[in-house]
Amino acid sequence: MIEQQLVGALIDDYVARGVFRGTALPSNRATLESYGIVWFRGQVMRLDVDARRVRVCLQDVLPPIAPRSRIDRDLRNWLRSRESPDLPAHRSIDPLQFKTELRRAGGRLQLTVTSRSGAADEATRKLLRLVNELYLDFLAAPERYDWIVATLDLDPDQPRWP
Amino acid sequence: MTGAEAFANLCSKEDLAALFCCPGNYTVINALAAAGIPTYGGRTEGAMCAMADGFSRATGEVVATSGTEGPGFAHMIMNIAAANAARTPLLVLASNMTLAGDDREAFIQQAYQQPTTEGIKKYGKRMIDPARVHEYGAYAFRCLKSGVPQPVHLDFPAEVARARFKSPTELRDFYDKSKYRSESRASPAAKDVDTALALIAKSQRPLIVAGQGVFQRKGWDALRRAAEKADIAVVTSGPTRGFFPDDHRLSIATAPNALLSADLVIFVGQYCMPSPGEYRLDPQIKAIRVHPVQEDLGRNWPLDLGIVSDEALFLEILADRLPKAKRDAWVAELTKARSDYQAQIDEIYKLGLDHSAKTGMLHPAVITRDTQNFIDTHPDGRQSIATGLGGWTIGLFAGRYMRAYRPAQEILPPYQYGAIGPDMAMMMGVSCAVQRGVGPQKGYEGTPTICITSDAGAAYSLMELDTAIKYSWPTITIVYNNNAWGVWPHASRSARSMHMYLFQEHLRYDQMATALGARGEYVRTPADFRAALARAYKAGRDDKASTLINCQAIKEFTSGKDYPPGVSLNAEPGAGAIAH
Repeated sequence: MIEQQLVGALIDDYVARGVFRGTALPSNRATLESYGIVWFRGQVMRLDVDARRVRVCLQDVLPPIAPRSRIDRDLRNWLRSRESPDLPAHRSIDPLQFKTELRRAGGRLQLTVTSRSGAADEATRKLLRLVNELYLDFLAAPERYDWIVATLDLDPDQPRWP
Repeated sequence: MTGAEAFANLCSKEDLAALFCCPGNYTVINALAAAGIPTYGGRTEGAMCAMADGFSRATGEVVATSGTEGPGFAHMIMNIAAANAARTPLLVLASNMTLAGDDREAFIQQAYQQPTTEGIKKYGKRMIDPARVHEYGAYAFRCLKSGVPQPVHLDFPAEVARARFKSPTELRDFYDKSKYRSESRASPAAKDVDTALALIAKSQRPLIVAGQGVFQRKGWDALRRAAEKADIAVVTSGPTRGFFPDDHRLSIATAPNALLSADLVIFVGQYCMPSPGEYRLDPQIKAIRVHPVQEDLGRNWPLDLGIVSDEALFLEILADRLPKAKRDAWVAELTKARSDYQAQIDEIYKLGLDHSAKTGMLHPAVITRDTQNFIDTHPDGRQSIATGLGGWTIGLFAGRYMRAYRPAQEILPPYQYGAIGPDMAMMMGVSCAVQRGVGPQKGYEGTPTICITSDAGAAYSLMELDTAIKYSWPTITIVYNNNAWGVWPHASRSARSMHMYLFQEHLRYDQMATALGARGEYVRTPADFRAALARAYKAGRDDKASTLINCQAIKEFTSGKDYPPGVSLNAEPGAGAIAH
């Protein structure tokens, strides 16, 4: 329960910092707590916090991506690169501490971070930073420009978020 | 003395740096010229307005622009809006025919001016009472020289401009600038400075975003002193670059990967505020904002600390009071991130050379990288040449490669408003400032300026080459000629739409330049481009000649599908940022 309160406080902090435009009230389903957060491009994303398994999952992190497509391969490589020891410690995801997974569920992409040390709030922090970098780094790379404009249906004169 | 002369005398006492205009509003512009204000006349009001803006972006000085009553004034609108986005202290002057003709459509050129500039000015007034002409002139300069500058729009009906006064007693509030405005600036509260120092002390990776306010308040020495004292990373933002050099060990302008590591951001003089998510920063970053006007604090970006202060005063106090601190890990991260970014754009340059060789056309990475290489290796010194970057495809590529090493070395014509077209004219205003050695351009007199623009952009101000030749401003304009608007890929799925995005192919902008009295070069290979640039510089330096280099490209370079990586937006904040 304390873990869930810490996660709630973290999400409130993101709202206060103007990162999330708002959150829907969390819904409780046994040990699973779900938050609806409004983030990049005004998308509503569902954040599931499973305190028992110390696992946090962001649903609909990106529009559907075809399996084994170039963007799919690049995204997985980019996620692996986040575990590189070449990254500074404050940016990297230590695979001994956290497990990162990109999954498909009913055509939707979900990104999950599981804490091996038992801290759900730290897992949430890692996940949210990861998604922030996914939008501001991975998707901002020159080779992704055409893809994001077409896939996210962005106005060519306003191709940025939020 | 006429109303126009009373106003012109006030402008002279306020050291109005220049007037860029087309004939029209005759009484006022003639009075300004007679009062000794440096005046320049050109071909279109819109371009002359952009020249005024460029002059101010390069110097920080107050400038004026003027045009004919209705049509000329309307032509200026795009560039008044661009100046507004850049927070340029631009005095827009226009006459409004006569009060007697109001609501009667009397003769020609009647228009209601003030509603037209609604939302793109700090202050505007249509003068009605001739006795108040000096009072409103004072109002204008109070707005232009206090707080956050923006355009000020005064329109003069003939009854005001031509009114005759026999004695100063006939003018309302006819007193000196020392009485009608103040040079006093807000100093930060001691408690706020203490809080800022505490936040900086806790930070491992602090970052200063130094905005246009730091440039306009000439706070660059204090900025550098503060940053160096405590190893704080710095990136500048705004329409003017170079007041923190890109090659400084603490510069993060060309280290986009490090931006996401910063844990504290201090916005100083950031007039055009982004929202979270628009800057490449960590979502939990703490934020301090220093701004001269209290009511803007907290707009768009939630703050941990807001400080009301003049930018230069804050930075001086910060530099004095900051304890010395070493942040070796942060500095090492900046160094690595700069090196990684350089490797990335070097790779793109190699691709560009390959694309150029295979197509026999000039890739934008080659044009822009080789231009910067020309500047970096020039015997006059890499600080000498002022540059301006516009256009879509070419502008975004230029943002990656072009560098600035001294205040106002680089101007960003599209900053925030995103106007395509004022580039050439704006850089002519910069060239005027360089040739006169005004403000930070002092010491670079005689040096040609370089404008990088597109074929789409050149169309808006190409005729002003006539003006550059007339006033002997040596300008070099590099036109990226890809036969299309840069946004053509957005029609690529529709054959019915594509024609709207295309021009005639291989248009000879160089020949148009020649016809206007400038030099023209038409190039298609990297070697030819480098040689043409060297010739253009020499002609500008030795003969004050202007040159247009028409770089033939193909529109497909914009698309990453055929010619990777294609166009993309650059990281914000940083070199190449155009939005905030």
